[in-house]
Amino acid sequence: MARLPTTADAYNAIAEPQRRKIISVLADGEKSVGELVEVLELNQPQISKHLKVLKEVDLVIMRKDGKQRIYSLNADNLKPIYDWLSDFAHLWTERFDRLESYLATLKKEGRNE
Amino acid sequence: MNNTNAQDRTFSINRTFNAPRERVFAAFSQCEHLKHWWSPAGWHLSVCEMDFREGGSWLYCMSGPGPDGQPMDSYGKASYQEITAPEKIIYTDSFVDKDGSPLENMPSMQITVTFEDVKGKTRVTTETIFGSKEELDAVIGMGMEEGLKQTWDKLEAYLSQ
Repeated sequence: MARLPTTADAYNAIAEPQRRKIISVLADGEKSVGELVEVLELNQPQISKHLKVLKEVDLVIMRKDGKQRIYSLNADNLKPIYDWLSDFAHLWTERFDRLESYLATLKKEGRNE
Repeated sequence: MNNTNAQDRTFSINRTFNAPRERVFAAFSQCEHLKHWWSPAGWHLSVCEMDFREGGSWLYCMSGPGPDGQPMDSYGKASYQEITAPEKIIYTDSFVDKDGSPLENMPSMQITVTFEDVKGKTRVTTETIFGSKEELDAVIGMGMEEGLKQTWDKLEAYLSQ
C-alpha cells in the first residue's frame, strides 16, 4: 500500500530542479563542493544551500577531507520515493483487476445502471 | 530517460473492460459500485462520501492491514475539476485526514480518467500528473543510479503489458 507520509520531506527536497541535478551528478560518485560548482555551473552559495536541504532529509552524506567537504548520495533514502510510485502503479493494477471481476459479476446478474 | 519530456512526468495505465461505457463510467462515479473495487485486495472502502459534480468532491477511506499487519486507514479526497459523462473525469487526488483536511507535504496528483467505447467494450485510461509535475521526473532522473534504473525499467515493462 502507498500513502505512508514518510517520503514527504524527501519529496519536497527533490521538487527543486537544481537539487535533482545535484542528485544526478552524485549518482556517478562522490563530489566535492568545488567539483559540483564546476559541473553544474552554479555558484558556491547556491550549491551549498541546496546541499544543506538534501543533507537535512538524508539524501546526501557529507564527509570532510582536509578542508574539503565531500558529498555522496544516500541512495537508500531515494528508495521510499521510488517505492511509493511503484505502489501507486500497483494500486491501479489491482483496482483494474477488481473492477474487471466486478463488471463481470454485474453482467452475470444482468443488472442495468 | 533523464529529460524534460512532458510525457515522462505523467504516469499512464489503461485496460479494456468487457462492459458498456455507461456502466464502466458508473463504476467510477457511484459509491454503490466503488465499494466493490476501489480498494486493493484485502482492503475495503470504509468511507465513501461523494458529491459527483464539477467542483464537488469525494472523501474516501481505504481500510485494511498495514505493512506491520495492524489495521490501517488511508483517507483520500478527490476534487472533481471536470466531468463529461460518460467520457471523462478529471480530478485532483490528495492525501487527507479523516476530516478531509490535506496532509501537509504529501504529493497530490491530477488524474484524468477517459472512457472510450471500443465496439461495445470500454477502454479506460488513467493518466496521472504528479503534483509538482517534478516528482515523477525526479524519480526518472535518478535512473542514472543503476539499481533504481533497473527497478524502474521493470516497472515500465510491467505497466506496458
